[in-house]
Amino acid sequence: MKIIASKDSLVGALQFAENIITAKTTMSILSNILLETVNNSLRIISTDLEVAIKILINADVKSNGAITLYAKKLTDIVKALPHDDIEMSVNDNNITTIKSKNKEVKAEFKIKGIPKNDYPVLPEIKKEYTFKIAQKNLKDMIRKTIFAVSTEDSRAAINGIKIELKDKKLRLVATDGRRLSFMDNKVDSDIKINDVIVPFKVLNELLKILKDEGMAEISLSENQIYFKVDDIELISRLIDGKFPEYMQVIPQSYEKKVVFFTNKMLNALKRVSLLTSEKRTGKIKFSFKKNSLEVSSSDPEIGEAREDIEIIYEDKEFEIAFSSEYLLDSINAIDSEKFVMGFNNSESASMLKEDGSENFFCLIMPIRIS
Amino acid sequence: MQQENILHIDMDAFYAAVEQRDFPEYRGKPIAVCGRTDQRGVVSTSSYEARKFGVHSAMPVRTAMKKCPHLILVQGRFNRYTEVSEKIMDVFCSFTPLVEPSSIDEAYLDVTGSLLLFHNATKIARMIKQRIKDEFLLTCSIGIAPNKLLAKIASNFKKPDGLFLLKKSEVESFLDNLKVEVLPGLGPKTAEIFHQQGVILVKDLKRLSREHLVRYFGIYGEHIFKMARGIDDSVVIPASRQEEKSISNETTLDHDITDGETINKILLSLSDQVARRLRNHKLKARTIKLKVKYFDFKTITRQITLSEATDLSAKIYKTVLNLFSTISLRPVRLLGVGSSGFDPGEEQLSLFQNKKLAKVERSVDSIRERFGSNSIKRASLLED
Repeated sequence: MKIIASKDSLVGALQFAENIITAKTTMSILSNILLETVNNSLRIISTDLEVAIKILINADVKSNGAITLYAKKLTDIVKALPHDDIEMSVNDNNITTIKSKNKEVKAEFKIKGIPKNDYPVLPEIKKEYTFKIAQKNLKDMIRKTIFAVSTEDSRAAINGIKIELKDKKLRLVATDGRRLSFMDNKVDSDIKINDVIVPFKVLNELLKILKDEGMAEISLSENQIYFKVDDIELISRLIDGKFPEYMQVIPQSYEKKVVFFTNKMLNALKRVSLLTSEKRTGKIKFSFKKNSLEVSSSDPEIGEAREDIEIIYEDKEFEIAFSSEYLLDSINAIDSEKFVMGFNNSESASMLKEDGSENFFCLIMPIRIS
Repeated sequence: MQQENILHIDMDAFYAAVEQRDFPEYRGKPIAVCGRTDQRGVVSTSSYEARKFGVHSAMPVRTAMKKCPHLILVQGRFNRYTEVSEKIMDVFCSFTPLVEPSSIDEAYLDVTGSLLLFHNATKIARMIKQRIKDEFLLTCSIGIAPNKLLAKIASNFKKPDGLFLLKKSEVESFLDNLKVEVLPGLGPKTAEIFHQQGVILVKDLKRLSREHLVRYFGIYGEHIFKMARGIDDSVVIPASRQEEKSISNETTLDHDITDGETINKILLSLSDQVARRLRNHKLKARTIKLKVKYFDFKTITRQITLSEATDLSAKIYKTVLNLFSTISLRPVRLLGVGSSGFDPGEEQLSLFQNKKLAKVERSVDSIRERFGSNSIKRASLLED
């Protein structure tokens, strides 16, 4: 194999491919990236056996072939070369020579590769359903839900985002059992999808790949999901499990509604959070008064913080407490200048949504006030 | 049920085989590894040469010597076995990250993901056997099946140095003609009960209704019902090696126990005690641990981290039972239930919480506080 490709397109692709590789893998071949020529392009592949990525980049193919190379070193070498074309050639002993076409830099690297035969053969996905969605919309939906995904290992079903498609409406829902994020968006497709849970990892990578223009293609088979974004393909297994009955925990109505000014609230929260207890919950107390909110925190070992901020609220006084992390995650997902929170009492789920939009909301369970 | 992607690997006569490997003078001879080699000792593992004379694990040394007068008793070197075991587990880990050691000489492997690389599970099993032979001069038996239960039965089917693939399509016909005692954890006493009812083969067992089995054996009956149909939903849980501050209770039994129902009762009682101590300390634990010491002093622990911290005995019990179902059921000398990974007293409320259960358990606590700890008990813990 011998190819010439630009440094910039190589670096971009190699970084996406490297992200898929798990540092902890017990199988050394999976620390490698597979490079293979396809017509007049170079295909870059990596996998951790659960997620796989395939990226096609333009290349001047001098001779066809394939090789797998240790991902970390390959990426480091390509990054260290100047912004010019890079030549890669593989000899019969799988030794790969990498050098820059730049006349000033005469560096040459020889690294040992492992032949393609030793690399896993990625399964072809049987696309049973396919639909398309604007990249920007998909990116928004993932960004506004993914933070609520559970990272704990005991309940696999909530280690991903649930995807539903019905009546031309795509829905993403994520929860860790204490909070939930929910977003709907229109798509132009008549297919129906239910009971699909997509692992965090593939969506987190997809988030980095999605742009603000163009369409993304999503296909499903019985146990796999496939994304095609421009020249990048991502394939992941689906999570096999039962997602919680989330509709049952969404309150029908709220007794009190409060309007917040997004930036003011975000800044106040960041300041007051400085003195929450270092331990997991990071409790922040809200004391609502007419058009004013006192945000406070205290750590018995360090001290306490409080800040008054302006809100829009006319009802009677009440108190409630939340985890600062949960509040910050949700407010960070808000794109409007104002946002709304709905409350029933200090021990039931509170809702947080953008002002003027019904497509997206978060539920957060409070921390009990002792 | 998935394809045949679960391996159960069982080292053949592990302790004895290590001794025979380390000391060539024992090779080809009947030996028995024991915790103590005097008349009060019990055989931990016997070599295949000794098994021909009927010498088996758990047999008193006295009996073993009668069956095989020239039996060589070998003082067990348990640290050595642990050392070899860890190296063998490393070999398993090079084929898949999903390796669950179920005891010092047994492990379950989920090779679903590794098939992309090695094409089929049988090939993986052959490669593992070869490496164990080449690198450790030991043999193992491997069962390949669609789930852990069936893989375990399969590994036992062609021992020693066996390799048996139980295909999904053949599960039913295979199980039907096995004797009931082949089902893991179904001890001689339970088997005797079945024999009296004319239940000899698994296909006979399948005629008994779920209700009937549950009435006889409690939760364990449900387990038997599923086993007879080759159903096992448990997943391969990779071992985790961390320990931290914990609240735990354990109990040493006055005799070795194999009976599932008794074990369930003990686990329930231990879960109750741990949950009460958590509530007394106003703590909730995120990690639940099970400890089991077998009759031969092999000790194993299993733990799992919950998605949310708990102080409820029902939740702890359920978790512990799940963990218990992942280990091999052999005579048990000690059982322990532990909890760790505590959340601070602040109470983060949950969206999907079972509020009723929490209320019941707190009421039980207050009754016990006023009237003593034996004033209120679970019906299943009442003596007949």
